[in-house]
Amino acid sequence: MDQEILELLYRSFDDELTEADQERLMHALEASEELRKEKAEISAMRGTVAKSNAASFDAGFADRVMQQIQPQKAAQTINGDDFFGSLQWAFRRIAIAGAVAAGLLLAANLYQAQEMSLDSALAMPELSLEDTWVLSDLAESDE
Amino acid sequence: MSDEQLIKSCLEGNQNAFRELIKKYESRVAATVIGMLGKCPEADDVGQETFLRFYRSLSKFRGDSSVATYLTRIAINLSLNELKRRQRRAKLFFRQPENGKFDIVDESDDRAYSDEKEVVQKAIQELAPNYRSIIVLRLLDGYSTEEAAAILGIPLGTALSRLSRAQKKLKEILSPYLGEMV
Repeated sequence: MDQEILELLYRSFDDELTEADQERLMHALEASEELRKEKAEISAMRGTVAKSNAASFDAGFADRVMQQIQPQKAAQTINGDDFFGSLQWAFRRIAIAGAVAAGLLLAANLYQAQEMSLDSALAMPELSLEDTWVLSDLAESDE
Repeated sequence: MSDEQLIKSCLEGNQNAFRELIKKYESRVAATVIGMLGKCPEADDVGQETFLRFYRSLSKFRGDSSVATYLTRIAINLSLNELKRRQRRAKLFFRQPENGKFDIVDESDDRAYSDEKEVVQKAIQELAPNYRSIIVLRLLDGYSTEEAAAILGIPLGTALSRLSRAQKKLKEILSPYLGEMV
């Protein structure tokens, strides 16, 4: 089969041929049974391919997409304007936990000292400057 | 509601508007993706990713092309990426048959694909990715040759010659079945 004519035949399905090409193809089709058969086969093939277009995704496709969009949207919010808000929120929790721990420590110190004073709460015994000298002398004499 | 209204509503935070868009274009994206990859779990993933990319770029969507064309372009590109991934995997784990192509008949199943649609789908899967994409766009999705060329980002002349070669190849693959189809 003439390859040039065959090329024209294929092109005729998808492109507008010039008048000269159209005429050439028409004459070739009139003259060749084989070319007519080829045209019928191409036409049938194209029709069959077009008809086979009834594909669909499994049920619930839209739900699956939407499920992926929601976390994305939440992530976008956290990454965007609310970043500093989230930071404040996180630090507030740390600050509260620290304050509670400090309070418990003060209470434990007061309980151990059995008296209510700032020094006992802070676990700092009341020592004068002389006391510290005496204590250091004692330590030296021990050595 | 028109596409523009739905997009505007999406941008205002109405997620139901995006669900509407999915429902409206799901079948078109499915035709493109399943045409390119066949009916498989990856096709569903690529379909989802197509809509996710569209969602992420909603604010940039200017409406230069229709939503359908925009989605098809994303779907085709993602499908071509998936085909490349498949090829890499196939090279790593499988050997191609000696004649260089896979049979259209699934011998393990011991039955020929009697369903015409299935035969066509299998035949399209045998085409090289660049032939497959033009066949899917032109014959399955029904885009004009100009639109298909624009979606693929190739000149019209290239699209026409590629289409012609792709059809010859497809006809060759389908030749055992064409008698029944004519």
